[in-house]
Amino acid sequence: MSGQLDKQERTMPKVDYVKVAKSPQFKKLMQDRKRFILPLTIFFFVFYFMLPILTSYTTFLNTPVFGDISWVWIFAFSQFVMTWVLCTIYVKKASSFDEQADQIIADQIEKGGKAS
Amino acid sequence: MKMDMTVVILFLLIVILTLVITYFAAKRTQTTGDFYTAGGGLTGWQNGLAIAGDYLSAASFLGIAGAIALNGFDGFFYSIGFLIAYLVVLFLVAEPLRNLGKYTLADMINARFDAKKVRGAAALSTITIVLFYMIAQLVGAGALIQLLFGIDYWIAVLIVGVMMTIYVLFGGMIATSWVQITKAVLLMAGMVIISFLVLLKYNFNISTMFTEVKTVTSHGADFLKPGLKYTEPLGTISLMIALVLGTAGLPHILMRFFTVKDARTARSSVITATWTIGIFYILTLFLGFGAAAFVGHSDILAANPGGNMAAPLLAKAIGGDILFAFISAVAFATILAVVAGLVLSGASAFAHDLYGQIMKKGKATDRQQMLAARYAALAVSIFSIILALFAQTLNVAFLVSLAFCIAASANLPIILYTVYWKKFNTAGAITAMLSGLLSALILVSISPSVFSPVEGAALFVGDPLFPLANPALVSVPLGFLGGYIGTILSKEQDPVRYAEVKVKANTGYRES
Amino acid sequence: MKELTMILFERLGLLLVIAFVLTRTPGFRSLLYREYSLKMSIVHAFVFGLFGVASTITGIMMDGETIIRSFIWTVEADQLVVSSSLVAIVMAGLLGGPFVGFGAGSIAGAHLLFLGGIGAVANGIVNPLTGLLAGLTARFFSNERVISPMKALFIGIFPPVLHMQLLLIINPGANGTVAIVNQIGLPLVLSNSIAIAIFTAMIGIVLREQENEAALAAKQALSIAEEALPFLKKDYPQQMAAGIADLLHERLRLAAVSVTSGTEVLAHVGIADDHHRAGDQIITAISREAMRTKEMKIAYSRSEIQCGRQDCPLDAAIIIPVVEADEATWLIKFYFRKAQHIRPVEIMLAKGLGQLMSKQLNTIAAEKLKSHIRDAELRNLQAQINPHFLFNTLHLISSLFREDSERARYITVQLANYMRFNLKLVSNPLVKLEKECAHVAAYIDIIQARFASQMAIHFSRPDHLPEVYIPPSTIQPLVENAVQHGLRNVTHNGRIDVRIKEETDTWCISVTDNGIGFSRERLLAMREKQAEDADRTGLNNVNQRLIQLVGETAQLQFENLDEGGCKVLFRIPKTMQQRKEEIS
Repeated sequence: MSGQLDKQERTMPKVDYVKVAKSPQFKKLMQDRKRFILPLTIFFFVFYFMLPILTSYTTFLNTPVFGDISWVWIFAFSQFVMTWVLCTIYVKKASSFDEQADQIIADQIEKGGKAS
Repeated sequence: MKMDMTVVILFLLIVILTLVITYFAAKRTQTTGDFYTAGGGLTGWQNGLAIAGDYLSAASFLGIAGAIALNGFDGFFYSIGFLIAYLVVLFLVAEPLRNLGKYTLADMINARFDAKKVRGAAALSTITIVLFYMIAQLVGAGALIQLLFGIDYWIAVLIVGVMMTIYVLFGGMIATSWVQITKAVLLMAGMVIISFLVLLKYNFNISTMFTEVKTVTSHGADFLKPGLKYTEPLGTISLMIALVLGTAGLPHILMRFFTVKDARTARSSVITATWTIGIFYILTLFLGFGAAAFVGHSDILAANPGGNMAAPLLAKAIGGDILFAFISAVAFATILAVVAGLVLSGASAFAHDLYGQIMKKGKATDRQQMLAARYAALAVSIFSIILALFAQTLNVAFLVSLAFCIAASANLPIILYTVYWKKFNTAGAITAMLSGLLSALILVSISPSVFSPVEGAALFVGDPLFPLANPALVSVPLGFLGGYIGTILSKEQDPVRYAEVKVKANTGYRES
Repeated sequence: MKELTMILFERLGLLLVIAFVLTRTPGFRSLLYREYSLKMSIVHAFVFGLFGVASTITGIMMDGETIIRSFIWTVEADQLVVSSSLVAIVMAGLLGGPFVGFGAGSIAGAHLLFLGGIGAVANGIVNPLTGLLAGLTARFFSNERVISPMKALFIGIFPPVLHMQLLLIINPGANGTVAIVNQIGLPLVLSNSIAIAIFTAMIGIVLREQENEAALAAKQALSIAEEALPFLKKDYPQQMAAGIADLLHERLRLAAVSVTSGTEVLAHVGIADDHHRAGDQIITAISREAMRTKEMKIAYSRSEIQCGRQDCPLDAAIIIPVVEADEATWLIKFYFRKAQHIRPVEIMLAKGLGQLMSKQLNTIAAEKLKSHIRDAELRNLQAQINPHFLFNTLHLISSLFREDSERARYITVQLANYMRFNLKLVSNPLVKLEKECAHVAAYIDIIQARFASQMAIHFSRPDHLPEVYIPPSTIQPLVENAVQHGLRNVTHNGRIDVRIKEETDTWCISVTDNGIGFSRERLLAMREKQAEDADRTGLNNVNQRLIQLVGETAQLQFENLDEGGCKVLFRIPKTMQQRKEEIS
């Protein structure tokens, strides 16, 4: 991505990052990002820390479910599942962020930091 | 334990060959570009494997298997912690760092701050983390050599340490992408085979395995329950904090994350890595249980008090000498790879930042710096060898978690603040780093790992002043707090610079 | 265990010897060039599979702790086959890719499965699996055509490890399996990996050999071609042929070398030169074939050479046509005492040399043509302002003024035309016959006027001139030659006839004079196209241009007439009419 842009960039004056940062386009990207990352991050932190907290302060997780496999193991395994799921979600969402980012860069180059 | 010729020969054969081949391969890679990107020729899944190879250190594989074998569920905490850390990296840190093009801590700091002092502090933290990491690797390697050759632990550590130092000084075995991929494949293959053999014993019935495992240890049914080792809730939580936040504080491990050419390949490599790493950690469970069942606590502890030899012993028990030698060799060779990288990064941090910029105020010549780097490499090696001699009783995964604790306390606050906090300034960076680093170090030095009333359980005999083995619970917040206070007090601002960082980090725009 | 290791090494040594022999066969070498045809892949899979089977048969069996050393034909249920087949399979994978590896592995594996005994299933599975994996990883590991022995050694360690694990997985019950694996594991690893490394090294050597050979041959061909250049430039075919034949005979150390034209031997160097001589006619069918198809031909037997003599020692030959301007002009023949002496190297060399020389000849011809055209241009440039011609003609005109002003005006116009045609000459290599006729006509008019009393010039041509293209300034010089030489000493009744006559396939343009004719030497020299002195370069130049631009058939023909005088003519094939696109 940056290869093409670099060539164009050489002829342009230095980019005004402050302007770009203030632009609505960029602000929207930041907001979208925040809306996506923040809730999910909070979710997995909470999900993760539930494990040591519950196991340290309670014992109900120790009740067996399948044979001798207790809830705590299921919970532990679900952490794995959560990881895989979240990763996939992230990868999918990231490509849409990429598009937004590309758009911002294109506008930025064209208008020299005065992206609308 | 007597030395078994078969095993020794096979072990030496694999290790020496690996060293020779990678030595010559390393000589051939000319540019640092080649170094990480293998000339840019990696496909998505190949790069994913390389990421996994970087991420899964043999030390943690040895350590976790031992931890699970000895402590049941509590050992599994490590696996979970390391796995979720991956998410932290992915969501919070990887993309901004990649976009900024910064893969070492020092580079990243440079994106926003110019101050030498910040670099100096970063160098300090890097060296400390390197030390702890080294100790972990050396303990693992030492235990391996001790087990294979039947020599005393301290001799083993010495031999390993000296060998590694020499090898590093010769500049060999830099972990190129191909080495990482090979390591990942071999490690996974070994894990899969062992797990297969273990499951075979239980006729692939996991439920049966759980039931059986209940009876194989002296702990009985408690083996399956959490709380065997981590009886203190705060202690557990503290450990989990370190595990989950540590990786994100080690940018140089993440280098491999996004060194592919385009975003699409990067995405697919993330997916491959996720699957590989996830499967790996699940398999550690089988290793741990298998070791508990087929090797037995007494043998595990006899081989190494930290339990670090559980996995190789298991390999020997169910796979014969061949598998034993194979696993040991793979583990050993990969430890070497990690060590070389560690020593180099520590030495260069010292030589360039501490020595060059601060002590010599930027006036050191290249040659002086190189010499400084050599000496630093030597010093790091010697120091870690000495410390490793005392760490025999400690589990390797635990040692790694200490390194992670420092990373989470000293580095992570800076990384997050740099990318996300507008007001963050130079003073804040310095205070964040120092407060995190010092609090972690001091607390560790008065923790039960260093002081213990029980003779031989720790470095010194005495009462620990700080109850938590892993001080992350305290040091991480201290790091963040220190950064906050330092920033506020200093009142220095550079919103322009921050705007640049923010834009670049979020859009991936790079100036040529 | 030591004993086991030694035995395995012994047996593998045997196999390596066979392998070495294999590397000497041409069929095997083709594998190394990675020619991907399905058929070849199947063949290779088969060969390596057989090799794997052979490894198994020459392997050993274990009956509990004892080692049975005899070759393996049948196996009891409680015996274990220790086979080194993985060596061949890994090689198959490394060299031929996953398909070949898997195929070979399947064959060896099937054999092992069939043999039975403990671990039969494991043996059966590990072979195809290893072949597949080896094939897949080979590409991954290195970009070289054949992997380095060191890497091969490294790769070779892992299949036996895998093998041992498979044994354990598939025979979990027998606790003794672990003990067995412990016993045979290391010996297998060591012997297999070292064997693979050695085999790989062998192949590396073969490759290097082939490359060296090819490199040497190429070098030789190039240097010969370079040394041949001066000979090719010679105008006398005899010289050219003799020089080249000598050069080739000496450099290539052949039994004999011949250089022939389409019809006769030009030179022969080497053995059997008592009856293969310069001047002999070419009669062999194979030579004619070569000339016709312009392709290299090989005569593998005496009968194909068709030498008349029974005791001729030459048994085989390679015949190389040298192609000039799309026609085979002559042949180079490499002679051998025996057909076996013809190796691929010789054939490649011959082919290469033929091509090189053809190209060089074309280049030389092009150069010569360029210089001839340049000459013509120069001469025409001179002619444009040829002082003598001009003086004389002006003189003529001035004298005509008084006598016959109409005629004076006419000659002036013709002089102007003539000079204009001369100017135009330099721009086109070919002009319409019409134009050249006008050119000649102008010239004739002037000359006729000048030498009115001494000679009569007649120009007969058909009313409708064809749209034929000929090189410019080809007829006029002939007339000029007739005037200046043929009729030099003629004071009256001189006659020059310029005729353009249609024949069946050609147009015949002839200039006849009744002068002194050519001397015998001149005639011969001109026939041989070797006249180089100033008088005749005009004709030579015309001749060369005719040959180059129209063809051999258009060359000038000279004859002295019985009634005195001489005739010079040339023919233009009617197909020249179609050639006009070429010059526009």
